[in-house]
Amino acid sequence: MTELLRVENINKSYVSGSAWGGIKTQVLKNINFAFNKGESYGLLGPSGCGKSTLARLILALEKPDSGKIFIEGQDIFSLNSKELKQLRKKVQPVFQDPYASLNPRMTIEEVLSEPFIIHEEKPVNTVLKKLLSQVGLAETSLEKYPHEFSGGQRQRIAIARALTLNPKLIVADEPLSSLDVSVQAQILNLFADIKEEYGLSLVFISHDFALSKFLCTRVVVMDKGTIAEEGPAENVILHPQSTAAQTLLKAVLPLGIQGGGNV
Amino acid sequence: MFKYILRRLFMLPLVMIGVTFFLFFLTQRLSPEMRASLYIQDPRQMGSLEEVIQKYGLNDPMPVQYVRWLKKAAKGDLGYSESANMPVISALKAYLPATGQLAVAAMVLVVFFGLWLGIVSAVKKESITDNLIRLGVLAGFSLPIFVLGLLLLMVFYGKLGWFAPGEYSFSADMIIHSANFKTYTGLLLIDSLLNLNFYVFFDVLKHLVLPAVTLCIGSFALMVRVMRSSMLEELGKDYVRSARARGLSNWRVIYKHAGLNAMIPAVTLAGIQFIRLLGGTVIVETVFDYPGIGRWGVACAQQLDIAGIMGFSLMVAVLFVLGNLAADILYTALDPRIRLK
Amino acid sequence: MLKIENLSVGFDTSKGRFTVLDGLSYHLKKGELLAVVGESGCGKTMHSLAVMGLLPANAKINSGSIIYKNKDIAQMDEKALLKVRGAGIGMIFQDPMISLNPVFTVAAQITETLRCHSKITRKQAFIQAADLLKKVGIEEKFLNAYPHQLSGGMRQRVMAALALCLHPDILIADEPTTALDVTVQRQILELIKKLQKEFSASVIFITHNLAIVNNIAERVLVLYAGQKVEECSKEDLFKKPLHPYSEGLLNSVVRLDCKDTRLKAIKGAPPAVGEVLNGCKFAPRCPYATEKCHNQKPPLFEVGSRLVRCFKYGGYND
Repeated sequence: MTELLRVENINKSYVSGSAWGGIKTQVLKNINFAFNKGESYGLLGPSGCGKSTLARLILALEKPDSGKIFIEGQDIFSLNSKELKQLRKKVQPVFQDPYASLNPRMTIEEVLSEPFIIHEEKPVNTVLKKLLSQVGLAETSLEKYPHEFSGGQRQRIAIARALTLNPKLIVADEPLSSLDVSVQAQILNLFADIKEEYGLSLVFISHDFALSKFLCTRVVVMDKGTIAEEGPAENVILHPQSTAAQTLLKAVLPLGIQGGGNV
Repeated sequence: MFKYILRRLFMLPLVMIGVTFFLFFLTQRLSPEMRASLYIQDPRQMGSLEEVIQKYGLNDPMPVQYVRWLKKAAKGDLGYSESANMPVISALKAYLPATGQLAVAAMVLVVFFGLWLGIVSAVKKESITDNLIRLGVLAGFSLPIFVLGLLLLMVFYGKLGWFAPGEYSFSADMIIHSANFKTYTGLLLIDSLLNLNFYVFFDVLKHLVLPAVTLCIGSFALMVRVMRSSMLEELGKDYVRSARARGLSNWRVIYKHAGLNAMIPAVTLAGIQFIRLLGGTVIVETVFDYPGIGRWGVACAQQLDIAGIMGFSLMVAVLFVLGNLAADILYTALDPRIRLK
Repeated sequence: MLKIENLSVGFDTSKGRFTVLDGLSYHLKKGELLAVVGESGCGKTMHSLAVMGLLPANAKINSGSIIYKNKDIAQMDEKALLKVRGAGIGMIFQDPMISLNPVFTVAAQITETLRCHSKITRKQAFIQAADLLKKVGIEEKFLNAYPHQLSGGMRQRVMAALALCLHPDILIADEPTTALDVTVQRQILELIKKLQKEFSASVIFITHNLAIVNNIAERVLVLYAGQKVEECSKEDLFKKPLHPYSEGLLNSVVRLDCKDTRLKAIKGAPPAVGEVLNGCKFAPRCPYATEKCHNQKPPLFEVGSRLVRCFKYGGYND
């Protein structure tokens, strides 16, 4: 079992206010966790707990104050720009707002070709079409623009884009929150499908216990920038030990369905 | 808040030095002989040009001359304005109130009509009223100030005789300079009210109308445009809908709820417009023969009255910083989201 | 309390006139809590705006009536509507950050509403406002705070106070918890339940979240593509959903004790705006659809005390 992601002693703070004396907010404090290839990891917590910041660090979009993050053994913050570019092939994001994550002036073909072009490879039409069909979209989508698609479809496009260069890890920051219930189910199934088919790992950020348990093998519950609890999904979600996790569990409204339901 | 104002006031000396230095640099482009000519009234005295140059040190290197001026200015001595025939400080004291009156009057008009027309324009979006308003302010903006001023003068003074150039008429002049008339602020409009002299008040007002209108017309365009788009944005926001949902009348929702919010960016703009207005006073005062610092500034430039030019530019720098500061303070004062963090 | 009959709402776009609500009818009883469930595009928000007379400029009521206190809201002019809004029917909107005026204090917004509807002095209004805010759980020290100084949950409480300050008979809550943190959700739901009892109001609760429905509703209306497809009690819906869409919705929600690796999601997407279908609007996505479903529009069938718009419950195999 090779280790895919290791987060070591990460600390991150932001300074807000003027340069003459702002307020320093500690957003992440002493974050430590790791997981192996093939596993999927859930980042759970209420809003403001720092999970999105952590996602940006894992994606190497920002640098921490201190600490390291290793992806497949590489220390991502000590890479030069060339190496970092290569790294990006391995880690791809899917963001929350499907209306903001696609450039409205690019056709879907351009959106999906862009990763290839950036990495000096030639985008092949058949590959793009295959990607589209894998996420459940028609081939004809290539010529269209984002505004011609619904929220759920755009999220599919975002997922297709993340898959273009065969990543090892996808970091999904609340990818279902902006979607309707029935669409959520479809995209959830899609995530489960690509996990299996591509053998990739998922870092799934959410505030929803049930969703995390559905997709992830291990979870970490965060509270105000620190780790409140960490462990296998079943354990943490169904039998939380920490107060933060228990509060989250209590917030889950029971569905009260008897029998029937999922297949 | 207080610290904020203090920090901004630190800017003041920097701007003052910057502006005056730059202007001084420009005046130094003129030869010493040209600059000396200011001091010579009689052509027969041409021979003593050299004497004058020596006397006033007009041949010295520029930084030396500038520092000389700066040192005196720091002590409050801004020199003597040949064009006004009085010390520069006295000239400023004499002319500033008139300009102040004019600028304030114009500002009031700009803010009031700018905001109101902006709201009307937004509420009646795409209607004839809206288009007329927008066309009107654009026309006002496109006309050069002096053309407009002359036109208004021609029609309202020349043909109709309703208004007149200058700051006040002869009869008012006598009253103002008589012993009974006490000067409180230097601003005639206010002083006349404080003296309970309504004749003077209305007289000054009559002379103020044309220049104020000329001055403000150009500024409407931007004001109305900003207010209109700000208003349109606010009207689309949810709190307007929720105000309606509480049964508040249309009038209240538009003017009080949306209007106050929409006003914030527009009013901050007003602070910057003020500075633009000040620039316009130069032309307007000349056209209407209005005795303000604008007219005096033109005279200084024409007569190469360097001391006057420097004094004038110093004043401009001060007003610029204060105007900007006022705009920023207004913005903070109006929007509680910024006022209270 | 409120009777909606055959309400149809349409709106204009550059591409033409489209119907967003198609013949909606229901009856809201006094003191009951009705949940209107549906996803985006089903018309639930438009219906609430229609009831308040707050439809946007490009939308209008095509047909139908909204009867409140023996008068038809759909026919009222602005003047009459002013009396209904706030005093007769109150509304809590979805996002409290943008639904509260940012430049007025919390108390000011309430006192303004109070003084607009009755001649009370400023002082009296302030006392009433303080009282009201206490009822919704906001401490006195926040009376003169501005909306941006309060948390999301607190803002929504203010919204509730505003909606109820004129003691309306009916309260419409349009997705009041969607924009809030999940930990605050429960509090707001409890608040609404409490206020309903205290003010003896009837509540129309609009949501897409079935878990919320389970926790707050007595009766449920399921909307799909502008039509009512099921109407029943909450218990009935969760025990056995009749309409295939309701069933699909329930399957789409992940339960904590779910052991499966895939959900039984509804395939496809709702009909696009303006798309005209010959038969049942759900047929293209329905796992039980037959030939008839694609060609004929199903009416509402009665199944006990329930209503379902599906041929499975009447004339399926004709």
